[in-house]
Amino acid sequence: MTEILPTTGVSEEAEFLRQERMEDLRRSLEVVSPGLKAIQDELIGVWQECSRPGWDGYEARPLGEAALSEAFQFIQGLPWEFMPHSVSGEPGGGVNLEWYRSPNWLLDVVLAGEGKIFFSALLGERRLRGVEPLQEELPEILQNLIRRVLSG
Amino acid sequence: MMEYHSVPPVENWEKLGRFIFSRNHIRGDGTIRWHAFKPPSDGGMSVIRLREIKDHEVWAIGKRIAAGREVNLYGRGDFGVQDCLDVGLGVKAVPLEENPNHAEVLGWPGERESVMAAAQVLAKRAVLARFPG
Repeated sequence: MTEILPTTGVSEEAEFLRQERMEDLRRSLEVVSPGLKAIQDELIGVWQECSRPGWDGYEARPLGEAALSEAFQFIQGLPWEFMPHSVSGEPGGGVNLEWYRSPNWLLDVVLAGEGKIFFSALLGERRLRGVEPLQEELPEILQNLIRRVLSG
Repeated sequence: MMEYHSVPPVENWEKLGRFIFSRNHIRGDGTIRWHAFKPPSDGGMSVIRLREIKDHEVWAIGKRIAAGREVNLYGRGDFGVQDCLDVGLGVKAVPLEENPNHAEVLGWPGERESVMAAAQVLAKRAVLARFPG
């Protein structure tokens, strides 16, 4: 990875640096499947959209580079059948990955650049939430939650 | 719209609206993602009380907020005070001169995953009203 540059300013120079940083990230990605590439492209689009303070119209923080890096790392380690259905910016400055079947069956995972996976799931009438360390392998609890959301 | 100097206290039966300024907060099927209901780190989540106010007045307030913050208004998520109480949150009237119907959802937990969980329930129960403008 190239040096992390300050990209949270609002000047033209900051915007130029942000664009350069995105291109660096695109070039550094190991593309293994069209599905993974689509998610990675979506991530970069989210970063662009969530790059200024207050991007949600409230008190949202800009999406952090550490969070973005963690999201790339997390997604690249997923089996293809576990790819999230959507990627979005989380107002705390993190990346939100969502697995969604219905409003009552879903899993949200937030990667905030802290070396942790924050998650919360709705499983019918049940709710489950927690924190797991971000490691190479997807934690078993998340594997199970993804399977449950996808299969019901 | 309520009168700024004499707003009534919030009651359990009331409906609330949370303006949505990010298109990523709305799914393709018209349901709402939890981040539309994420509170700020140091305070209550701003909402508008939907009692004693006409729909066009609500949208006028939303449009004004969007213009001031240089964002787009996509809609709002309508939910109930009771929904907040069900997940351990409270609602307090915080009238503003430009928006006497303003209120805040308070009592959020400290842990990030617990905030997600509460916001997921509010998002699940909320009904999307798309901005007609």
